Amino acid sequence: MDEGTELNSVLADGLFFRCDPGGKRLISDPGPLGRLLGVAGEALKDDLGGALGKDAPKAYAEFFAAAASSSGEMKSILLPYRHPDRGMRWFALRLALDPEVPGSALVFLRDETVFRESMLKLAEAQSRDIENSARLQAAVLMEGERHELAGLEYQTTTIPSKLVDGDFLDVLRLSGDSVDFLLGDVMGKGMNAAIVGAMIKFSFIRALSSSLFAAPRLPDPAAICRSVDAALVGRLFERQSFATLTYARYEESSRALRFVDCGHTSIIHFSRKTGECWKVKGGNMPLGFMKGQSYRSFLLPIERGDWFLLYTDGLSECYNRYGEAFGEDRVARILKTYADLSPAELSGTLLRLGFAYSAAGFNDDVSLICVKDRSMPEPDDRERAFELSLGPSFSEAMEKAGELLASDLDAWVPELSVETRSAILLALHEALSNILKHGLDGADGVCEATWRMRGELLSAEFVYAGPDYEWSQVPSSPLASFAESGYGMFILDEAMDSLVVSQDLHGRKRLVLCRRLGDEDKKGGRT
Amino acid sequence: MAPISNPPGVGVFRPTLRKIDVLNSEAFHASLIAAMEGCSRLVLDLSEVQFIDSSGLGKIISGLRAFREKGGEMRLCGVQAPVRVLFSMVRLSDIVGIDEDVDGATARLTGASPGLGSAR
Repeated sequence: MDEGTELNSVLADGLFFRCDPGGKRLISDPGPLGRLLGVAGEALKDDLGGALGKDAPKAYAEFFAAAASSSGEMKSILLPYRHPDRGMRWFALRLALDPEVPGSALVFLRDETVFRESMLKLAEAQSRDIENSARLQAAVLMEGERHELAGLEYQTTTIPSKLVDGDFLDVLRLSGDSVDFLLGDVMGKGMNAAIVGAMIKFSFIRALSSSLFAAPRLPDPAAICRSVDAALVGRLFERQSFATLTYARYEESSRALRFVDCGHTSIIHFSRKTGECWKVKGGNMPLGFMKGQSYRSFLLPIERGDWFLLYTDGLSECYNRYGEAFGEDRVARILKTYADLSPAELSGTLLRLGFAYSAAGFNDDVSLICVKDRSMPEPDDRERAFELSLGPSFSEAMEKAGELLASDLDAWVPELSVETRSAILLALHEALSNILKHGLDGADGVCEATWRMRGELLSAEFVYAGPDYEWSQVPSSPLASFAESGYGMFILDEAMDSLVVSQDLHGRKRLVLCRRLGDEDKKGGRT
Repeated sequence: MAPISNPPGVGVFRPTLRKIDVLNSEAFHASLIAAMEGCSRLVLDLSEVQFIDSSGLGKIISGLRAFREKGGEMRLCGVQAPVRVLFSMVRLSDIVGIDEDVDGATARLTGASPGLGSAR
């Protein structure tokens, strides 16, 4: 008979017996209990405690004493018992005084040995798993080199939870003027999640090194994600696992963050100029959700004094005792409040406040990358900010905006080709039309417009208060169906490299359009 | 809105608008549909138009579709640089012929030699 069968048999045969309330004398037939304990039944008659309680006499006596002084509720205890033939056993005893039979206690005894040993083995295995995955996480997943980059200060922090859940993080310096940040979170917990995290992280490093070998120019983060997807998604499917991640590159020359967001928590961008935090999202699904998804990178201009914050949901989804999540808005409010701190101080503050908020500490890993731009201020001669009234005077406002942008482009990039200049002016027109038509729902409104040139990057920001509009829905080709509408988003997508919509804590929307103006955009340049 | 001239067998519609955008695209569309009445071949001459937005583009495509459904044939010409950027962006030449000038477009529509105008 194997252990499992025996356990079932014992469980089925768990026996009741009667004894005196002190557990000293057996009242029931001693035969079944004697067989279970491996002793002669008669020996139990007058010395039940001496036999059943022999290996834990103090606990045995206290158990019966507590039961005798109770007001009738059931008591239970797990009692060790060294069987003469079968070694150490563990018996669960449940006892209730029987009011119908004064001077008598009713006891149910069950052999819990196999169950208890299974639980101990499981706990031991889990402990090993946690220990190993925590070790793996500390050694591999969270290792990020420190890099010095003029004008940029950052802090990476991670707090592994009791159950390691596969956060991974890295900071890579791959060129003279950029730093790459990778932060992800694998679905699930324990060693499997840690292994998947390691697989993803090393796939990124392998994809980067292969790309750099093939072409000296740093590949776009979207291209890296495509390589990782091709190499890894099949294996993630096999493991029934996936990961959310943000892969972001800060480019010093253009003062912008170029990022891919695979279903991760929002990037929180604190804009020193507006004094607001913006929740920024990209447009991809988690890695491992589907094969061969089309990865897109987005651009977010970063100015002096700005912050961007990457974090895992262990922070935003820790819960207080009322079951309320910490939430992205709270993370953003803390960043806004403490924007004058250093990245290390802000990391500490976020962790302290998150921990204080949560009812039982962090249940998941919490990982943070806090980055502050401490660069020298840019001369503002390549920047324009003004307010546009979009309402009855829409036509004049559009006209004025178009003229201003045209004159700024002529001044900032005098060698710009007619084609690129026209495409950018068209994109401005489409952006403002869409804000009026969809963003403001046709109602009067004000739009704060800013555009600037940083290095080769032209960016234009439009801030307005209005209902939600799905800016990321780009029709594939409205022309194919001879459609009358749908060209606005298509044009924006074609004319600009990136379109990002974010929202602040007051619900205001910010549309950011970016286009890198390279040699191919100059007169006589490659088209 | 737009003068209509009539070379033999072909209608020519030349909007005199500098811009065709969200503010006037409906009026432009009405004029285009009117120009299509009574002819089966039409040249849309955009030589005076410096700017077209997505709304104006949608009206051109809508007119083109309506005209074709009636068995008509239309070509575009006189496209100015900023407008050419838009047409190139959406690859308009995939669905409609675009010529340098009215002569070229007319020649294409009548099957004659295009002369100096060339198709794109």
